[in-house]
Amino acid sequence: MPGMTTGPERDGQPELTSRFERDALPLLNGLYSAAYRLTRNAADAEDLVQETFLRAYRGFAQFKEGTNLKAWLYRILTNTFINSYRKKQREPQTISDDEVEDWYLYSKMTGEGMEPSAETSVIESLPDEEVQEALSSLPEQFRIAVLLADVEGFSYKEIADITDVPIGTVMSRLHRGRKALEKRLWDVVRERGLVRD
Amino acid sequence: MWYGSEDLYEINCTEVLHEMQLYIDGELDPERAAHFAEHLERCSPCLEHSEFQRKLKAILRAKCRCASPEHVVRRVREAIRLEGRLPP
Repeated sequence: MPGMTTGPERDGQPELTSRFERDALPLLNGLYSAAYRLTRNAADAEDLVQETFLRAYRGFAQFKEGTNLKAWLYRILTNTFINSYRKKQREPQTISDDEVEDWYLYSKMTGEGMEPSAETSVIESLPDEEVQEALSSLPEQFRIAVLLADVEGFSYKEIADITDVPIGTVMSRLHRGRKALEKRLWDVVRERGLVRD
Repeated sequence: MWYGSEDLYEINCTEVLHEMQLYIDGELDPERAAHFAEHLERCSPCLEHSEFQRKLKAILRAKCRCASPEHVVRRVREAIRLEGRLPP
């Protein structure tokens, strides 16, 4: 509704707005990047980021200054994605990884008799899109955990707060998500003929 | 995996493997992390493995981040401004 005030200034606290602009907007780049990994396409990522910032802005009066703004924004992003943007059709939500051994990629690579320094350069030589696609192929809850830990650099405690699950669940999702990711990366490396099968 | 240095240090190879994820993620408490690092200094197989995992994490970070297009920043600022908050 035109002229209707729903955000921070309703309470006559315009300083909240400039604080939002100063503190929250610089985090947009990272949030867009995460949104892209979650939605897997640019148009949805843009919508998700805009929705996230509008929600954050409307709720900014409730945000306690000095607490973790970055984690708060990612929490809104994650919740908005889960509630509105994820594919309507059900994707598999679990990973069958019983037969994938721990440290899958390292085991496979050392099994190839590679020099230790050559092992990571094979992965490094993959096009970014291949690695992104491998991450995107993980079921949602695992993708979110790996994204938050490895790409965004959040601690277990922060991820637990962002995703509303106990730390033990975060660790388990990371463990299984990384195994599945390593399996996928190994398949890519093999398909591209970068290692012998 | 078995690297053969069991019982030599504060943390043995089995424990290193078990706690590798915590170490790489910076989630071990400082004392345990110091023991872990000490083990790595003396045990090259464990060092190589932990270096692999550390680099893999770094590669993932480097390859999976992308800058937001300039028009997205403008669009978000505009959406907020339209609510009557930010100066045009």
